[in-house]
Amino acid sequence: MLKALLKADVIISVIVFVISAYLLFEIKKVDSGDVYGELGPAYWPKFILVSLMVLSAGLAAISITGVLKGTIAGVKPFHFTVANARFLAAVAIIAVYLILLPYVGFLVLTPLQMIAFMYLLGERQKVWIFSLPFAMTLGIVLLFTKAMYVPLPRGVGIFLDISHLLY
Amino acid sequence: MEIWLAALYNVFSPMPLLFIFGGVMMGVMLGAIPGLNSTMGTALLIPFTYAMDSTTGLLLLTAVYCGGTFGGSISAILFNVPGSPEASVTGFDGYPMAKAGQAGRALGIAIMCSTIGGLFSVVVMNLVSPLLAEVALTFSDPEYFALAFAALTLIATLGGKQMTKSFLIGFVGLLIATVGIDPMAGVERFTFGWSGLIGGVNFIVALIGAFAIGEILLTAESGSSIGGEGDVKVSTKLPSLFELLKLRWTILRSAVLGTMIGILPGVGATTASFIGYSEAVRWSKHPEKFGTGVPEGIAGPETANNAATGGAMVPLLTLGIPGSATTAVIIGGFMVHGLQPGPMLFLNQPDLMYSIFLAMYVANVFMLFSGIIVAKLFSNFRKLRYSILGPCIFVFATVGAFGISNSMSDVWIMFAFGLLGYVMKKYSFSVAPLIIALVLGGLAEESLRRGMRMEDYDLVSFLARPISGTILAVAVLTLLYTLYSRFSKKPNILAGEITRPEGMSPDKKQ
Repeated sequence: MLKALLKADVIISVIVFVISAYLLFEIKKVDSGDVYGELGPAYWPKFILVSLMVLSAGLAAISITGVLKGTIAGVKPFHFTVANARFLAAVAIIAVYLILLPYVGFLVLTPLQMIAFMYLLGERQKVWIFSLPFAMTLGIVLLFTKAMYVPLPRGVGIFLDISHLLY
Repeated sequence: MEIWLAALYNVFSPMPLLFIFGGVMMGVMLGAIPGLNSTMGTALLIPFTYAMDSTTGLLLLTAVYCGGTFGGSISAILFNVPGSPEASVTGFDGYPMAKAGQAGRALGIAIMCSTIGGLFSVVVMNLVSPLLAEVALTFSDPEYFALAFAALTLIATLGGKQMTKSFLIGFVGLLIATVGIDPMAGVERFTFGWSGLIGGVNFIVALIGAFAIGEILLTAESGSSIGGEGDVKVSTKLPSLFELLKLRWTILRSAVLGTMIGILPGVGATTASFIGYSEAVRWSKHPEKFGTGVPEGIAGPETANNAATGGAMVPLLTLGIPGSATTAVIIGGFMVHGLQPGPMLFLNQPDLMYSIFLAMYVANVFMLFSGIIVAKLFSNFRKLRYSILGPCIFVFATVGAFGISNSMSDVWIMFAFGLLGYVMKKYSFSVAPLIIALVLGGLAEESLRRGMRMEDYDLVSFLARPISGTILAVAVLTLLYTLYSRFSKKPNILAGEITRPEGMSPDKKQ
């Protein structure tokens, strides 16, 4: 039974069910009776959320019965692997980049992020690692700020001054 | 005759021709870069047209529009990162073809079908635009709802044996489409006080996240496909006449549908491409192969989305009503030159109108060449190792998401969708239903609510209207039949399962 309950489909279904139930509670806050007519702003989301709860329960039931009957493979024992570590590192690199971007700015942070990402993905040729990130960043800065007028994040303090050198 | 001669002179002079070619090239390139699209490009170009005469300026904008609608398919096919929303469906089959070493063929089909679709719609626009605009004006909310509902029923067909998963993720897409200010009541829904969500979840941001970031995260984890493609040679191969003849019904159907959809105000190339794809699936003898890399999966959406360009120009030129986001921007182009598109412009400046018709013929022919040039440029990226390409795609995706509204909120939303895309791909949830529902969710809700109010909250009256009734009846019957065949474990004749070879599973669809 545990093998069935730990199946990814079941876990995802439970998450969807719980979130849907919470959002159903949330949407009632904008449900103003017939102020907006019979189909108010909560009507469509409520229909979707109830459908989601039914579907997630259905998916969980299908998955559990499938595992118990042996028609669907049960969950395999989890072992933390290098692949998992690489995925977590990729998420961390992206998250840190996005957090720091408004403070450090695009011009300075992007080459550093690219170097880290390239290394994580297995790039070991120094020529590529130390040329592409800078060339790419420069190209994007010129294309987007000069031709497309996209105000890429500049950062604050000294990073702001550095960004002013280019855009 | 005099008008046509004036139009010929306006278009076939060296400078206008140069601007049309430049506009198409620019449009294709803008479309190919994720996050940039013809809408943004057209908007950014409007100030540059100040310095030109009105005809040349408007020819440039329409050329960018034509090129941009096709351009997105290049990156969709080569990297599974749709450069523009209207190309998102093209990646469903284009990318698997590219992965199977047929990138050049996939690009060739996309370019040729885009050109044919574009030319077809311009012919239609040219010949029957006033009449078609009149028909489109009779469409009301029930018809729009019926159209959206019919497209959403595709989710059932796409799901194969995993229909529950497909529906689940489709409803997640519909839910995400409700985030932001409700356009009818003006109240916030599911924003949780975060200003970044007030405007809703931008479809392009979600697309970039689910496709690009999800793929990067999955590849980072798997590690196995991190290697480069070595000496893989990608050159565009235009389809042979025989191949085109095999695709003729898909192309013709999508060209007609795309033109018709383009004419409908507010429903543009993106919806056209989804419906073009869904109809290609519906009418195919082997729908189970869609998503694995079949030419029809490229021909359907590519013909339809480019056919929508000409269609969308019909209400713009004859009535002054935009048929899509980009044509809405083009109205701005008219206005900066002191012109108001509409029937009066046909009377006052017919040569300008016919110049635009001619320019669109020329732009679509130019698209064939510029498509090959830009595709060649972009295809070279496939020779690079993923350890080089991945970070570059990430940076382009980030800048593209940021550039949509110059907001870090969009970048965070992109990241969230990247994680969602990763989970979905890892646990065999198809991304297609999410995207289809996200695109059509707003249209379905608004047209349902407005239509219900219009019909005094009587859903049955939707069926009583001839056009919406027919569309809804066909969609409901198809859906019920698909559900019946799944639950009774009988082959779905409508989905072509009667002809499926032994052992072939429909679960391969993406």
